[in-house]
Amino acid sequence: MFEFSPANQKRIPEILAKYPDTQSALLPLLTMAQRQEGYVAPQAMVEIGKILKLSPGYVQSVASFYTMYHMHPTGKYIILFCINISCQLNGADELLAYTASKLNIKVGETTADKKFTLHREECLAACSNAPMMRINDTYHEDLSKEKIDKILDSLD
Amino acid sequence: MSVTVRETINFTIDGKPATAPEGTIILEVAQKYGFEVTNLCYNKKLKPFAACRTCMVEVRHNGKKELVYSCTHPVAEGMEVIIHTEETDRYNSANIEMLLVEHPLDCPICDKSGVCPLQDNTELLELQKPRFEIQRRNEPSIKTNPLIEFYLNRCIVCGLCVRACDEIQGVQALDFHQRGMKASIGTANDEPLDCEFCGQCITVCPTGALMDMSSDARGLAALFKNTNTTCSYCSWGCTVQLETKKNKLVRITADETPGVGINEGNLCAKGRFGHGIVHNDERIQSPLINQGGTFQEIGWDEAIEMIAERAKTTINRNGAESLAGLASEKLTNEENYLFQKLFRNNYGSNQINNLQNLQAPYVNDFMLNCFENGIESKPVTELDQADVVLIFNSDLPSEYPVGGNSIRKGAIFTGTRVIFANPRNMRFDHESRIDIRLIYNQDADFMLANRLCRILIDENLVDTAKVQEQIPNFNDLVASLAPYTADATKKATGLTNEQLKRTATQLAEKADRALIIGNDVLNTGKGKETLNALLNLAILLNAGGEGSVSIYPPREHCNSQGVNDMGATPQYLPGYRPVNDAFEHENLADELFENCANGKIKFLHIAGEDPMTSYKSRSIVEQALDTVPFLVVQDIYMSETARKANLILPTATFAEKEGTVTNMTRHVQKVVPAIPVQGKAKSDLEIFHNLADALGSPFKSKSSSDVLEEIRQTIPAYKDVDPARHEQWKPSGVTAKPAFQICAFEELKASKRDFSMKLLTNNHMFHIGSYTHFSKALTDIGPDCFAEINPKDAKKSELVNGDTLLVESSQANLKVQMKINPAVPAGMVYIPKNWPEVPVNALRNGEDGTVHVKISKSE
Ligand code: SF4
Ligand code: SF4
Ligand code: SF4
Ligand code: FES
Ligand code: FES
Repeated sequence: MFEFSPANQKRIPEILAKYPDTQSALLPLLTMAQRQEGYVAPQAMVEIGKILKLSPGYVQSVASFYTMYHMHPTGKYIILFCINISCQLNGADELLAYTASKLNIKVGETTADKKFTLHREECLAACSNAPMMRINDTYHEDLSKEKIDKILDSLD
Repeated sequence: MSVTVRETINFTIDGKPATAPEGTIILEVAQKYGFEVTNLCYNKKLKPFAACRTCMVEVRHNGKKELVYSCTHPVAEGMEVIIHTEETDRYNSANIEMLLVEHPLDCPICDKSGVCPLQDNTELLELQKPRFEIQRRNEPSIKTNPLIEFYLNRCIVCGLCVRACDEIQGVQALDFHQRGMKASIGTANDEPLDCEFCGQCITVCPTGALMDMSSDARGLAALFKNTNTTCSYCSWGCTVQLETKKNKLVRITADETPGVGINEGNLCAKGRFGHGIVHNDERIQSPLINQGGTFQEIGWDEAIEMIAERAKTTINRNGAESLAGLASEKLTNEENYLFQKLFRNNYGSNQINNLQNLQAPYVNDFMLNCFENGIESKPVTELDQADVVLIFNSDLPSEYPVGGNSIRKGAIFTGTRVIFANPRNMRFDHESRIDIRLIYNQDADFMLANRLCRILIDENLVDTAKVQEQIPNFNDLVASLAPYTADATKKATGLTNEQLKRTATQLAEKADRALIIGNDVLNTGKGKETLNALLNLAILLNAGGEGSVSIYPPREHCNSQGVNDMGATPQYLPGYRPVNDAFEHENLADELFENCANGKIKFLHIAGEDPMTSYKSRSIVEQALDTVPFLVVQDIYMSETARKANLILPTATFAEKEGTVTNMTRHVQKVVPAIPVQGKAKSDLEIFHNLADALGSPFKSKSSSDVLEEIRQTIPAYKDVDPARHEQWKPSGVTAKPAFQICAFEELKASKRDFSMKLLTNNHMFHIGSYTHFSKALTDIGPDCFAEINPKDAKKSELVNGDTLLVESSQANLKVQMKINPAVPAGMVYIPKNWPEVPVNALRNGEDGTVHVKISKSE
């Protein structure tokens, strides 16, 4: 079962009040659910659908359209590795492969200790400092293998 | 038609002048003018979407050339549209070529083959050699629900199914998953599809990605023979396309071609998947005679002879008035016409009736009153252009599902405002700008309708001076409305005066209004009063407001209207001519079953009805059938009624017969045979002809069309209707007699203390009458009967989902599985009436109106 935490429950009316049409609150509520659980569970989509009078199917279609909503349980740290043009030209492919082998998982997977989840991502608008990855809400730019080692090792 | 006037736009298509109302999109007009435009994701019933990008045309406007997508671009004054240019073909082709990269091209085994827009468009653009590397998807077919197969390798992600499910059906069971190359369609969480099973998604899909699994023969639609005929279930009267192969009905589809039917290619679960009643071993195989409780096969000649003999001796011994007939809401007009003729002309008996007229004789009077007051029923094909629709006590998605489709379309394209009034808070999702929901107390229908009338007058929402001028008894109406105060109405309906004022205001605005009345109204015990109040409401709006009012009266089965038109009632001869003194004998048919039970009727002939399950009260039917000395029943299946007969005759299904039926809005439509009569069965028409022959006074008519010709001679209103064009019959020769129908006020009866719950029963979404149980597809999706109660009542009686409920009335009790449904109000038990093992009508004692019951958990 999914339930919004009491604190999040309280925020729902505030979020709804921002929009003339309740349907518009779909993205904020999905985000809130993901922040709470680390991913958007099927039950969460049903629950959000109930709040916004949308079918679970519709909620899922919106959630699955965006790569930044995770539909499966994730690790504590979600690495979104940019593989778009600027990053790619600066060696993103190799660095992504490096990260995956370092974590001993494939892209899209989560480490056995549930610490890291690794995903490809399209341009995250930090091209000037390509290549880059985003871990949870933090951008890490001008990456190199050494830098990746340091960053990953520093996280607990 | 809507009262909003849209400006007419002038433009040209490929040089030919064309016109259309402002806002019309190019593709729609081009198709109307007969131009072929490639397109894969467009459907006239749905909102513009532009997913496939294959409908590009060139437009020149204000000296500028533009390439636009014709499925979303509206026409403009002076615009020149050019459909094919080298450039548009290049773009459109490229997009189809890219779709074909993934498409399996397994046409020889595809259900859509031959009627496939993807094939057609590929051909139209003369695409032959693929330029791109083929990359087929190879996902397994999904068959997790009983009826619709998802073979998504063929899906081109046009979104038509998703949009039809949402916009037309209001369900949102399907949606997109992911995006880009990975985009596909599916259900939430890939759970098995659990929806209304209307199959609209199958119809609109331009490929064979969604398929009807209920069909026996799969693949190559082009090889089947198609017959368009009228659905035999509800009174909406959809045109269904029967697909046959070697004289076998293999599936039912919908034809979206404009002008084919009143339903624009929409169907419901029953109409589309309910074909299992046709080829079925459980059909009665031969005439049967009851010999001491067991049925023995006999020959047709012998059976017909026996009825004729019995009729003659009964007439000699007890007089013609002791012979009675029950005509059918499911037989054709021609059959019902001959049946009443058999009784009136051959036997000399006026004892003929039908179940609707027996239970609610006032519906016919209501219709005639509408005529006399100039209240029309516009063709249902115009329902999507109404400005306001009041859905009065109808659970539309179960009762007239396709009616719901038209209203939803209206909400999108006309901006139809929907007012939904019902004791149950039933789902009716749509995109109306205004959705007034009036959830009122059960049985308070007449209070609600009368209060609306009073508000219209009190608040001067209609021009009362004008009304007074036109309708002589206006003051009587005003006087009769005195008891419907805000307080009394609140007490009876539970609705606030503000809610009702808002409703009345909405109704009073200049508009074309449609008023759809559900069959539940007839079971409140105040059906007549409610219909009269609604008629008064319509008269007030018509006489004192601007715009128009259309009324759609409650009719249940495919020919509930026609059986009455044909005069299968003791009050009216064909065409509603009063019987008056044509017959001297007492009218026994008004109380048909009572008069069988008390011995006055000695001979009862039931054609295609099962009153044991479908008459409101079972006990009286049982007594009647057990008492009447001679009972002949002709039907397709061995119904409970048939089991009580002396003689049973097997009849043909709708797929095997010819004739016409008349829907709730009086569209007279064709029934066309798609396969020969099965086995030893005969059509009801043939049986009546045979009987007349055996009686020694044969009918002049030989065929169904002869009978239709005779009907046209007899009923002026039928004279000029063309069933092939789905035309309505219009009242002819009606003298205008404007008058409000005044009813005395009577307070709602309170529930009795020991039986504190009220029963409601009607057709299930997947079932109607008693035939649908023989259709496997429908029992697959609607296998079990569930009583529904409110969570509060469940809590009170400590009931949970899946418990067996004991429902008791003062008359009888029954056991039924239950589920909790918050849409059902506290104090109500809703039980669908379509399960023979849950005989809801057994609960009624002699009283009319709502049945009071109590519930408890059955151990
Ligand atoms: S059958 Fe009807 S309700 Fe079910 S998914 Fe298809 S369109 Fe939607
Ligand atoms: S299943 Fe058919 S209708 Fe639905 S998106 Fe795919 S191709 Fe279009
Ligand atoms: S709405 Fe009525 S007429 Fe239309 S398909 Fe369904 S049952 Fe048949
Ligand atoms: S391409 Fe990687 S941030 Fe823009
Ligand atoms: S039909 Fe116009 S984009 Fe598909």
